[in-house]
Amino acid sequence: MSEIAGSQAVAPDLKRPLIDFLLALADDEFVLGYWDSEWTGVAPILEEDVASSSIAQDEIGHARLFYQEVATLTGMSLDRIAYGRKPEEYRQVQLVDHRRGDWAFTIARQFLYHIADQLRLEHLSTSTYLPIAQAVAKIQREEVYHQMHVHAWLERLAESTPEARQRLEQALECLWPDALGMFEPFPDEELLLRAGILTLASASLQQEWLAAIAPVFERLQLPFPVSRMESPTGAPKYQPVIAPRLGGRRGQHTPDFVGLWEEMTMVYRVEPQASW
Amino acid sequence: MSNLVELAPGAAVSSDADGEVFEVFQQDRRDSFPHHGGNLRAPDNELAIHYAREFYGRRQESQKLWIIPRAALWEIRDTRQLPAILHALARGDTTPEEYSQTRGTFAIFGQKQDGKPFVWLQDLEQVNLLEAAEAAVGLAHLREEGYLRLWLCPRSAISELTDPDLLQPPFDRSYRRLDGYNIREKLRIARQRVQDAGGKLL
Repeated sequence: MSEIAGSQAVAPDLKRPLIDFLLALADDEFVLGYWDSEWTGVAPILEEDVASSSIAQDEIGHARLFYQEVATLTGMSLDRIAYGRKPEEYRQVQLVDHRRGDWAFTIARQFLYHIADQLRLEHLSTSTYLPIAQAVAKIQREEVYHQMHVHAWLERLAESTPEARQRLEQALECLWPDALGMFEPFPDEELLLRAGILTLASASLQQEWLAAIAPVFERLQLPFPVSRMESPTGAPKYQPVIAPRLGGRRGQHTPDFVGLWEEMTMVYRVEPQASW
Repeated sequence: MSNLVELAPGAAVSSDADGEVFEVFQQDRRDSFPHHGGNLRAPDNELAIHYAREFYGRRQESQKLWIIPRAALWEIRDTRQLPAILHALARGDTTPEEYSQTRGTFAIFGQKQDGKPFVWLQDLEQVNLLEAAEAAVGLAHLREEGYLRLWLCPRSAISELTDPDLLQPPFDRSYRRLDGYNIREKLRIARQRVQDAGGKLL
């Protein structure tokens, strides 16, 4: 498969799928970053306040890298892309639509998301679209800390007081359908795969994700609504026993997100031509 | 209880309701040795490492961090204190047994004057805390050499962080670079606007 050096080299039939794909990657990080930034000032302890705020800032920074690529492809400004769309034009999965909830909810969601994101980034590091591969190489290094952080907190919540554990379990129960929704195929996924822009189908990524988190859920005895089928020929196959909540990639979002959208785009909508 | 409190009246506490206090040493590429950067509170050692990275490493200001629970640090302020300190140590009732009995490597830090950071001076090998305290004082001669205070701690109490993925992040958020937040282009446009307006801002 041939490499695509930049926006100039994108075949016309690939342009729209590529833009939607980049928006999906960016919007996931952008919306999660926005919710997590709400912990600034109210995190469990001052030091955690700084840590979680900076992680949120990292996520928004990663979104910015992907929005930058969309800007190159479309000629639109970054601010227009980030803040100038209607709620139904955002492409994030519904997992990140929910408001931040309590600390256990935030950690549960971050854990489910970050493991999937890490695997997705690993596969995208060999994308034929070079601007993606280059951005991913930088993002991966920053995600090392995010992984450490969320693992540390998941363990703590699972193994500390009964209340912490109960809150964590409740959060996971609530989030599982949305977590499975992370593997909703991207629009025109087949095209992206054929061009090598996307290097692994979403359904295969889900299997990798389930295999990665299964040992953690087993060790901590957390809710895992997935059956495991041994395969004589290779790795076991995981089959969720609940239905995923889909639609985010097609612009279907929850009322929580519409509320967030109202807030985060407010300044932009007052004066879209303003330059900062 | 804090060793700092026991050995040096007036020093700060080592834990409270918000967690344990950890002292952080940092070393940049221009530094010869780790020096004291400050402290933080954390529920445990693991999160202390996370927070040290946030406070002392996020903006590429450190290539190496040492994170030390304050409770593992012993402070010597004055040679005149030493007999009392040694007596307390010898009694064993103020010393974690593992430190007073076991021989190991101790790190020595010195501060030359108030307001200046403690700097790592040397490691002493194969000593127990008692011997380390004596050797540290002998080594630094305290005030004669200009050292106001000494800290010592077992090397095993030091968590070291050198991972470049954590300390030399790929995105420069140091504020040293003007374009770190894409400010350069915005400044250029703003200057141009002012120029076009004949130097008048509004």
